[in-house]
Amino acid sequence: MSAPILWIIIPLGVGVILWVLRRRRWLASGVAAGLSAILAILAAVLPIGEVIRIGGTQIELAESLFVLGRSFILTNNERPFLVVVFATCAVWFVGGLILQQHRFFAPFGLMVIAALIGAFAVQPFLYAALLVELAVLLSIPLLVPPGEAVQSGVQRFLIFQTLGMPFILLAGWVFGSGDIAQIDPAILPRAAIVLGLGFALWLGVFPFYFWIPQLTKQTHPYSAGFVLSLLPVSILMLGLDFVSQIGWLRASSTLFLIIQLTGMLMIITAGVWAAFQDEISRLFGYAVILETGYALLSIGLNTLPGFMVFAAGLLPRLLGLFVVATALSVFKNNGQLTDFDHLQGIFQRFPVAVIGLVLALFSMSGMPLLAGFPVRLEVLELFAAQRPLLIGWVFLGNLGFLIGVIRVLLHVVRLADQTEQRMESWGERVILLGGMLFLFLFGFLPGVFYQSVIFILRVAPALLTAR
Amino acid sequence: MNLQTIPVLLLIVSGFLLLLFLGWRYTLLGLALQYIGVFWLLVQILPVGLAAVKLIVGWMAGAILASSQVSLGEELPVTDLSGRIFRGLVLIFGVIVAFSILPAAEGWIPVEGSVLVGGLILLISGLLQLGLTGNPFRLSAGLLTFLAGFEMIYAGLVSSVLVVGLLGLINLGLGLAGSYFILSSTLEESS
Repeated sequence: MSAPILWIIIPLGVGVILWVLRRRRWLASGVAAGLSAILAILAAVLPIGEVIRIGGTQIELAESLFVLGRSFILTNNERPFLVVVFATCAVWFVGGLILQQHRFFAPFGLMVIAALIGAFAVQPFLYAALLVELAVLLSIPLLVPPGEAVQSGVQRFLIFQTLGMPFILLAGWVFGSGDIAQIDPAILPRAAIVLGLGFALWLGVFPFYFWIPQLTKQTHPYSAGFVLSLLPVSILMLGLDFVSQIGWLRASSTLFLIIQLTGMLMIITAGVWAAFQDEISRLFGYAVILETGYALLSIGLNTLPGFMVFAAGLLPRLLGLFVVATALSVFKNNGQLTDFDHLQGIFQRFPVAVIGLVLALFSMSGMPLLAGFPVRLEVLELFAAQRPLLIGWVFLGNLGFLIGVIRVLLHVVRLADQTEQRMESWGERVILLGGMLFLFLFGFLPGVFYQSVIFILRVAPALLTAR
Repeated sequence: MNLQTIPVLLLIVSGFLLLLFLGWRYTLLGLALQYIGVFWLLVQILPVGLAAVKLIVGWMAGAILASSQVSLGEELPVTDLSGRIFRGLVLIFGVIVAFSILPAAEGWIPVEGSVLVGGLILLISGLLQLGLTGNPFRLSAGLLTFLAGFEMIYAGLVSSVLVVGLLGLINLGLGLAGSYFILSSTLEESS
């Protein structure tokens, strides 16, 4: 048995089996959630490459799996990332069960995760681009439920992700073609630009992000939330891994400056657009852009605290997006429109979902006592120390997003003239209350949670040791 | 005229077919010609077997798309004469751009000239198709064209069996995703 079989082949195989059993949605979602939870626990407790004794039997989980002459390698350094990814998936699949997601959600969700972990494990790096594209293709049935017509948001998602792949492959060819010292120095900056363009298209970086609000508006928020939670996080980690492996990129201060300024631009533009949004599901898209902006801003600091804040920011990001997606799904499943003209009485019909939505959005905008506050404060302090003249622009972007959230709050608290019936189910309330509890717990006890998640940075050891 | 000029001309003709005539039959014909051109050019730099993989996979992806469109039973919207003239002029401009940037591209990407220019023409043609339509069928054809252009250039740089296999899988996946785009509204609803 090897680690890639356990964390790539098994979820992929189970995903295919669940696709066959897709009509039994409870079974498919239950198995997907159970398997993800088991794989997260195994990633937490099972060391890779060491002999373990269970009773009289010895088990060794090998690091490598060879396929057509290429290797898939998962080491102990990747285990924290596996824990985060599979634990997140388990939560999303349980939520999918309660929110009655369509029959492709669980099978294709598992296959997407298997492809993303495969992208992370494959050596050399250039094959990762192909596996990310496979993950994108597998997420199409997840985003477009059977029986619904495809919308422009999903089409643009596919176009932009597919356009990104060639850039990564080309850059991978330059940086992976032997000793970097022997490559023409004039080629390296061009290759870095190509690499940057590829990641910009994948991550939906300014100005390539207009498909994100379209996607969140036109597709089911739960499916969109699942894809927009896991895909950008995996791509960000892949990017860190790649930069960590290439000494020339690691040492380039210009690269990190560009990443930082791009992050800043994303925060500003997302904030300004969010301030004028009249549709909550589009605001969800801008929340994703804002989160990616902050992630890039932290990475661009190019210091150990900056990378640690980036890693710590993953938990509030994943939690916030989950609560927003769940709340919006509750509205959508009950036929509740989310534009500002149709929000009167929504608080009476969906009190828990409305509170969850507002709290999660406030958390993303960095409100004190909520999960996002400690990491926002830290990243802003670090950024202000490094570039005091630019911090005002980041504040402006954050303020814009906050104004957008306050406008949502002002509209959702408008009460209806007559008594409204509550439309949330108990399952939906429980999952939303659980999310809200963690939003507060992360905010009150940040050290407890964030110290555990920063081990995720082990995937890029060279990047950290150089700082 | 050099023998390698013929497949490049074939790629230009396929570009016109894909961009000017919007019916599914012309698109299928355009994709078929396009992959013959790709195969012809790639035979110079790849073993015949690997080049044939790209031809067969491309034809299969085109066939999947066309059969889905036929299954849908809806005619694709057509464009008028002025629209065709505009599209034709845009593609002519695109081909000129491809030949103009060829010397600069050759300085960076060490690939045989005819393969590089063929790849650039397909990249530009694919981008034009993507920019000029919102229809799932034509959009998928545009993505396949763009990817075929990139594959040609990339085959000159990396000739790994696994890369060819995975790119083939992605081509088929794009065909299936396009098919799903076309037919998703007709599938039985999930709830």
